[in-house]
Amino acid sequence: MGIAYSPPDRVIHADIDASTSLCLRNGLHKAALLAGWEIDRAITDGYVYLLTSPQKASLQMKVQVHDTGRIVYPDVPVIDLIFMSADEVNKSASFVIEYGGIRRIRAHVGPCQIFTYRAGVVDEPRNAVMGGIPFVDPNALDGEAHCADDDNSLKTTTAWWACGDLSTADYFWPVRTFRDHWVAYSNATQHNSDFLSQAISYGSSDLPVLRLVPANKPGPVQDSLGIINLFVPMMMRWMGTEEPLNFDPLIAWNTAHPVKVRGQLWDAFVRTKYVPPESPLMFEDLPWFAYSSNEPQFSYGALHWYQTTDLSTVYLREPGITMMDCSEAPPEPSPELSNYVY
Amino acid sequence: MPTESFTLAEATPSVTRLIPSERSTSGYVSRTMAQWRDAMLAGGWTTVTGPPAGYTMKSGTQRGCYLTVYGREDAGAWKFDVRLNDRAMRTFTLGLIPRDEPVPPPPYSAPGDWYRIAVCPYQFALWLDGVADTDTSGTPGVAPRSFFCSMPWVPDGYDGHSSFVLGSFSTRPGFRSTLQWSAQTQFDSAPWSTRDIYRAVIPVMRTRLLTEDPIPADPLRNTQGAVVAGNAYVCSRKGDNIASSENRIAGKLWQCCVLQDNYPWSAVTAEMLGGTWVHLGSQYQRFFGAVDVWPQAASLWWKVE
Repeated sequence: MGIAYSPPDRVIHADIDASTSLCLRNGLHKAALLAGWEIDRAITDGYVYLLTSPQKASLQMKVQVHDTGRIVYPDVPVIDLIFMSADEVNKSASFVIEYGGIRRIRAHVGPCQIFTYRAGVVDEPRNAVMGGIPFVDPNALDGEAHCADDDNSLKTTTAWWACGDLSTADYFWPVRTFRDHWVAYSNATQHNSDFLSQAISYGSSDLPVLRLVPANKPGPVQDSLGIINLFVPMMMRWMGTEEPLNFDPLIAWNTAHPVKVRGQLWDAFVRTKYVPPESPLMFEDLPWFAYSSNEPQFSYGALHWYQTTDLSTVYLREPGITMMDCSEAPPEPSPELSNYVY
Repeated sequence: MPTESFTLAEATPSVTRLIPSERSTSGYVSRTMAQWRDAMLAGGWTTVTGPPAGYTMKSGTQRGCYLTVYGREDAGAWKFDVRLNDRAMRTFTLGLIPRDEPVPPPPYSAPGDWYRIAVCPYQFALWLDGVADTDTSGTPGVAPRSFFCSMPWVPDGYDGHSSFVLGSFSTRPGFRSTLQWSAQTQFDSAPWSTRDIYRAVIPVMRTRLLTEDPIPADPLRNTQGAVVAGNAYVCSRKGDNIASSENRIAGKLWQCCVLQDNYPWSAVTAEMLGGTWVHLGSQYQRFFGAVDVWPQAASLWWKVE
């Protein structure tokens, strides 16, 4: 369908002082409120926020950001982010972000979506946590105009996803997220009543179900050299010019294979070309930056050959970076923003 | 059938949908070459003066390029001499009779002896409805039962190549049983390729890291169960090398789309996306070394008037 744009003034790209837990939480708090998240309630050392999709007011979820005093390997303090259904029945595991020292964390926050990362760092865990309510095919929403060939009653009433870059099974192993791959090994998803929370300790299989769906070869290509996906497939670029294609950032999951497309990321698109993380790009007359950094991933193992995204990159809309310097004072919600209604 | 419109996007602007041609027709032709000629005329090709036996047809012109195809009957098979801009010729053979099956051909009036044809001004395809062009494991050895000839579309201003033609026929897996076609190609007045394996690959949306496990192929559907549709890019490679890892996008097939599910051979036509489409081919399990391979479930469809 093309890019799903949020209201432009509700897309925040914050560079947050993460030297202390409070600095980090305050920075995330400010960014969240600027993006239109509502404060559901304050909790000990944190907040629970209510997120509402700009697409439909009934599409909601909550995110809890707080500090439980958790210390993870190798003796690193972190804050916790828990994603959950609006009724709080279904909750993700705690995804974590490290604080301390001179660390800074960036957060790209929209009305119903967040991506965190550490600038220039891809392979280090405890930085990348992401999740939200996807843009949903209008055909799947009750009361929306539809253009389906065969409309049916399978409608979406709840949809959200989340993942983090440190395994929630052991808080030891780093795992893939959309920061560096098209699958997310530690994740939580919910579509209507189907909730699944997965905690993969080491990503060596095709078990996880939360993923983007990149364009690629239709199957393993064995050429006459007997090469089976050993080389990074580069075919999704124009011959000669090497110009990439741009794709809708479809996000898919299910309680088991095969996955189903549940929607697409907001303010994002996928481009079939690798660039270093945070590389800028002008597209559709708007500035963007490379969120994912999908470097070549080679096959390993005797029977399992791993496909890359053809070095694809997820781009997020760049509204300009807002510096969030440390404020030790507990943040207060902005009344006009917390009452914002789409 | 899909509720989603096309999901794949061009470089700029954001979304490109079906690449329409001036006209697009489909029908049946029998062994009579005159019927092939008539079908090509209906699809926008023109007749040019040619050899006394058979017919020479000329395609429409795009970017200053055109195809000429000399079709003739020869020893029970149809042969097509394909030229791009009247330069180097490559002959493709389409056999009516499986050459390794000692079964007499059915009467010409039998449905299986009639080719389905789809034609638009820059592309045509011939195949037998209801059957694969090879067995599902892709084993060579049967006579070619399908032929796809195209001068694919490229965007305005594209200068990665100046001319490109592909022909896919089915002594190896052709367009009926996989989206990784055996094909011959010619680029920019260079000689025709001779090594055909995976020379034309139609990309799809991938849902799994692995495709080797003996599991059914994954379709890609949305919450409502609707199959996702995408543009039919074709990836190929210049020169005559054998490394399919060098394939790049060389164009997009006219009038075609990829559906992210496969369909039985009995699925010949479908009403979807506001029109009538004919089923060119679907991916099915292939035997791959020591294991069965299930590639991503996908199929290729051609929109006709």
